[in-house]
Amino acid sequence: MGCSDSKSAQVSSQSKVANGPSDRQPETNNSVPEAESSSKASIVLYYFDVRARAEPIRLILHYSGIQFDDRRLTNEEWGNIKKNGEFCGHFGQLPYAEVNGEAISQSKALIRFAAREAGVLGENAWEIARADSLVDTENDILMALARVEFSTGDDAEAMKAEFVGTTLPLKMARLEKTLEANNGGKGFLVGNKVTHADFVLFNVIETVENLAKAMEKGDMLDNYPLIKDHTKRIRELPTLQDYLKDRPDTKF
Amino acid sequence: MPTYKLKYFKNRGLAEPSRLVFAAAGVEYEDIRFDREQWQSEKESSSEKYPFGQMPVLEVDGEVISESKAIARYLANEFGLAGKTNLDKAKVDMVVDALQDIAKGLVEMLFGKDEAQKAEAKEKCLTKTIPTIFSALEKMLTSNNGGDGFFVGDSLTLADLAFIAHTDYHVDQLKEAATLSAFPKLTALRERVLEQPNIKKWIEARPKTEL
Repeated sequence: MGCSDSKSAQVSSQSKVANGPSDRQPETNNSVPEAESSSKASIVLYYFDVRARAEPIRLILHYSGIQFDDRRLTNEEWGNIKKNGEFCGHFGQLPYAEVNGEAISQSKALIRFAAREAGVLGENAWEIARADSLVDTENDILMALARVEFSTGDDAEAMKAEFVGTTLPLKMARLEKTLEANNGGKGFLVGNKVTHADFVLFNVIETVENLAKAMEKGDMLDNYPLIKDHTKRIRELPTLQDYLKDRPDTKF
Repeated sequence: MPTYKLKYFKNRGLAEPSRLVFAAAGVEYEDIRFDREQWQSEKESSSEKYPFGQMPVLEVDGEVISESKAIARYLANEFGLAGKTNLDKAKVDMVVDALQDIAKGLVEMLFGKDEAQKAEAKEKCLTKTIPTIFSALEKMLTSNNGGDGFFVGDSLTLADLAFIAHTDYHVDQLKEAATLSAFPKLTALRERVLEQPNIKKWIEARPKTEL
């Protein structure tokens, strides 16, 4: 992996090139407009083999059929890259992407970049702002889930309890309300079209569902019927089906 | 021009990047600041004005959004301070997101659970978090036309303004550490932006608060 002009990536194992609609003819038109974007940007995404911070990026790109290189690194590969000083990302962290050879770090910057390329950022400045603000609040849930995921021993039980008892209800209630206020919760979070806020929420809910299974609390989301419907709606987006079928199954 | 109201506490805090955007753009707005008590009663009496129960919020002709970064980004886009291409916008976002980590470190340092946790957070902040971020930003700035202009492109953006906001330390502990001085391009950028007439005017006029 190199910056702009350099050598091709030595990272081997989990490199998967995502295919766009040129390889498949989707039955339905999901009305993804021609984005006024960096047309046919070459995108290489680097992250671990988990969903966590990078999954919304992957979902958005697959949804819109934008080609990208989905590099999933093992901890060892990541260690080597950092050690060899080949890393061009700015903050020593993943995810990071090379877009036309230029390095961009920070997951939310990348989510937004992908959404803009895909035309799913929001239809006007105000919708964009509302979608952005939802992403920030959804990200808070992801951070709380990360604390649950990475805590051990007694800490773990306390984290889980706080998440299930406090964080989740508070955040879910607001998101449920947001959905209800937008077309009665029959569509998406903002406006009349899917946005990055929907994909970020979907990714969060998938992890919550896994947590619920692990804790044998199947009813964790029962108080949020609109969110449940929303999750189903995103899960069933036609252009996501191939990816959802093929992608690695990860807890977090 | 729409009517803008920005509501926050009596601090610079998370609202300052947005205030700097208004200042840089020369756009009028109502800079509303609540103390804790006022905030409590606001929250109760006007909860619909605070979608996530938090501040800052921005009210534009009566409609509301929350989340400090979404607000700053919206305003920057409205006033042409957001970066021109999609890639430039991503770079601006990247800088703003990274700077937020400094704010987070600061919060942990000042408002940690107990003295031990605060001391640990301070150690981490001063020896790791801030130097790492500043080092990366120095590199990024330098790679943009030698670092004598702005973070992204060839004009002022939210990235530069957020940088000012997040290095505005009147907190004694950080003033001493003053790790910015180790980074010449960043230091010069800060001086350059602070000299811009609109920004200078705001800095002189704004309420003086510790945080």
